[in-house]
Amino acid sequence: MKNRELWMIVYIFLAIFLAMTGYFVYNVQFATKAVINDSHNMRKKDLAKQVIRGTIYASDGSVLAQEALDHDGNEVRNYPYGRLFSHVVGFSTMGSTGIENAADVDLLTSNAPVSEKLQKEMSGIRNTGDSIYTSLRPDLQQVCYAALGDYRGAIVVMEAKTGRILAMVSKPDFDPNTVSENWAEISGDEENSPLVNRAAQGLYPPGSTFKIVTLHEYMREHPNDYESYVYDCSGRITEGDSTIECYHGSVHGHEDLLASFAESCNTSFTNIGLSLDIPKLSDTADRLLFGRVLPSDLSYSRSRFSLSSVSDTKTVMQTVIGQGETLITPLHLALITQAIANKGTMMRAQEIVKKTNYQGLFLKEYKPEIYKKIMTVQEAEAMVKYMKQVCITGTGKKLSGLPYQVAGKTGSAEFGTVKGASHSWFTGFSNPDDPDIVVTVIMENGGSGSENAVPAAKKIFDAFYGVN
Amino acid sequence: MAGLSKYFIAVFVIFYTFHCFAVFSYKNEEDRKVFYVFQNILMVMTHVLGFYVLYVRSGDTDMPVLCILEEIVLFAMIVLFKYFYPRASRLITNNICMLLAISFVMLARLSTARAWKQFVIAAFGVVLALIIPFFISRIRLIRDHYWIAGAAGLAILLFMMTIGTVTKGSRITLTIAGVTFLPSEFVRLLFIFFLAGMFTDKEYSDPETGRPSMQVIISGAVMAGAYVGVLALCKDLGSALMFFIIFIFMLYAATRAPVVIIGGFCGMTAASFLGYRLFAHVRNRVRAWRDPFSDIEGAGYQVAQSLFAIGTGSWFGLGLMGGSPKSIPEVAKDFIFAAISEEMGGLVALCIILISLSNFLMFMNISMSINQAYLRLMAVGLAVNYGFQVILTIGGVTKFIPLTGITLPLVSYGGSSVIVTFIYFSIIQGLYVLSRNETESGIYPGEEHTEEEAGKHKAEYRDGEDPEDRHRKGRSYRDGRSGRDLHVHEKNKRRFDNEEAYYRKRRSDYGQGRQKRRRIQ
Repeated sequence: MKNRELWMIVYIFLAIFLAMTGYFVYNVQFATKAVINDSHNMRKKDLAKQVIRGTIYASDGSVLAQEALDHDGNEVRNYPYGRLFSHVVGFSTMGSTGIENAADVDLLTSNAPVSEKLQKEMSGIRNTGDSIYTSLRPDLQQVCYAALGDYRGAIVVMEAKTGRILAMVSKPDFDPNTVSENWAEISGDEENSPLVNRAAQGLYPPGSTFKIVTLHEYMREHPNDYESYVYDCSGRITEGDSTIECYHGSVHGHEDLLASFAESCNTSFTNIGLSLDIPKLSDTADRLLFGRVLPSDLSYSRSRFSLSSVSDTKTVMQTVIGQGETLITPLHLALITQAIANKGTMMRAQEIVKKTNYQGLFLKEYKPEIYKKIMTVQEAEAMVKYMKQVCITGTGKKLSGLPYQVAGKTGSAEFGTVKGASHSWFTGFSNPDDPDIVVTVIMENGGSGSENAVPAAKKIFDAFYGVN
Repeated sequence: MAGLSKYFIAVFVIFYTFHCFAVFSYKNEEDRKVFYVFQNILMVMTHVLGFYVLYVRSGDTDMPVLCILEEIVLFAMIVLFKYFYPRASRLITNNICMLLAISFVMLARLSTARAWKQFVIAAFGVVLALIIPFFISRIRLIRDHYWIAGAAGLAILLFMMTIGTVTKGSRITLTIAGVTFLPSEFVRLLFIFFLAGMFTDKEYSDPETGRPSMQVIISGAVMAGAYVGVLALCKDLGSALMFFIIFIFMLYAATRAPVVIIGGFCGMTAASFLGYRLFAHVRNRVRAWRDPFSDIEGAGYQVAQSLFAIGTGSWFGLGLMGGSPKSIPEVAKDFIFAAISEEMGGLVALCIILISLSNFLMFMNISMSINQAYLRLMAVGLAVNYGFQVILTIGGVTKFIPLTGITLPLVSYGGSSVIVTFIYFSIIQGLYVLSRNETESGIYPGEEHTEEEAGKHKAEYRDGEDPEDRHRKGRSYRDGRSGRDLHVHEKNKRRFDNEEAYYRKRRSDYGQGRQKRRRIQ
């Protein structure tokens, strides 16, 4: 062929141009949303100049956030529930947080009918952004808010099979309606830090709830004979020069693995922990997403776990019972609990269920999404058995004898240097045979798990099942 | 009106781009005329509407003045070029003007001061563009003294290395009268002249195939290595890469050996790896490319801003004055594509890629139609230079490849970029005129041809071909002109024979000259 070498050059360049064009088209059409939703993108305010921010709805159809006019006729963002949803819905007035941030671009994109859109653009009127429907339930949120009472802390309620968030409360809170007026006061309050969404961003020592991880690792290392484990608890265990005691000096005596877990026996679990293969435990923590990205659209902190073969005995002893360097967020613990309830499969934590245009015309459904298999079905089922026992005879027995069954784990996480002061934890799920909801509670300085967190969780389960 | 302008602009530019490719459905330049005029109308509408929106939204009274003056320059370019060079490619002229028009609008939006500067430079460029094709037949002068071009280029680079200012860590620039020049862009032209001359030097090539000898290839490689080395030392790795690619493709076009391409890509991979290991700023750019968001406040800032701009703008854009393109550092130069994508929309940006592609294809098309090895190779060099520059810029801005800090020809702000682009576009136009004269009328500038002969060809052409007939025959037109094809072939052969004789004579002259010089030494 004549000009063969020149045609070759043309083909090479055509291929590169084609690849580049394809990449550009793909980016503009598909990959753009995640990119432009980044909080560093100051162009969101450019969008806001052209589009009236859309409305956020709760699952019962009530409005969580909308654009409204104030007394002087200025446009303001209005949150009808006030403080109730302050963290999870967030605000869009001083930067954006919560769902306001996660759905920023959707809320600022208008899918109004084309003719209306063009007409408005021609006359210089802003179009209205799309609406977001969430899975949040105001009734449950109200119950959680009340259950947390005056404690600082957080509650996460999640659908066990879908990972959808039904309620998420964090205290101390603030009123999103006036956040811009009171910005200096709210953001400057370092003692209470009300802007922090403790449910997703609060890092707490997991306390005895970490025994779920220790137990899981023990079961993996002894798949056939873990049930034959026995231990005599004398209330304390000493290895080298460090000693671990059971909570508030209790002595559990002769016990098997089930009783050790149900009673949350620190000495027995320290004993188990000392027998574990530390690198493997570290791998397990990694698999359970400690220090990893979580499947959530909200801003969250990464949990921390640092144990390796070089860690000293004291650190190992503390870590396996949830003290030491380990830190976890309530959202992360809720996700682990959800995966156990859901036969080992972790779902994405979703708040957004569907998107419509401002007139309610359906645009997109956000289906529940499997994130990762974090343990086998057998491992999850074995764990459920142990967690059920906690709520029958163990530290969660306030949740027994009810019209519904609960499987869970309590925790009392010591913090700071004050001896005896602890955060009160509970994480669990209802109706283990066909799980309904996951509830994770943390109450700062709330004492033991059974003291405060379990009753708080009970109120939420009661409300969900309509029990008085 | 201003509210809907972005849709109108998108439609205008899309229609324009469509015609860039649709013209090829007509074989005859005569039939294409209506498309070209339509393209001109679309260009004017895009430009005027853009400035109208800018004026309405900014209230800047410079806008209408700038708009009218720019229209005059664009019009002058189109009309005068057509008048002086009726045989030049109108598609290329139109594309130059369209890219300039879009660039004018965007620059006026970004900075009025820069828009004025760019306007003056572009006007100067138009004058150059009008003059250069006239001298194209004198290009043989450069051919015969290609070593001078090569040495001059290298000297300029070395000179710049000592006195030039380093801006943004990796570029050598020179500021003359308030206009910042990137000498490496001029030097690229010299480099192309050099390679084209050397690879087609009859003295050192296989007389049968015309391929360069090993000796020439090696000295070319050494020279190219020197260029690339100096630029690498100046940390201008984007330019170094450009020189390397030009060398590889021109060598391939000259030798027709696929191994050159394969070897070139292996060499590029090795060099990239070496660059990555040696230079911290290369590592930074690769990191910023792989995940610009991980270091969004630092190395990834520019690319992240660019992606925000492209993404937020989406297909139709935020409208002129509706976005924040100024948040991208270097937006008027390397990142103008992102600014266009943000405010005029992804569709317009896509059209810019396609118009650039259309230019590249036209360049290659022209190189294919040239029979003379030297001019043909030069056209290939210019095509590769243009095509690769577009790929590096747009690829970098869209995160397709790591950022190299190269400007987008005709669209980016910058003195040297616009001037150099005008120069090589007009050289290409000159080559096109030359090649069309060559194949259609038999008049070959610089060759001895009698008027009589030319007249005879013309008559034959008219007899054998009825322009009206072509329409009706449609695709069978090619078959229908076999008689003429034969004639052209005959003529070319004759001309080629002449040329051989011409070269033989020249060569001996040249050789004698050199011997004489040697004797003097």
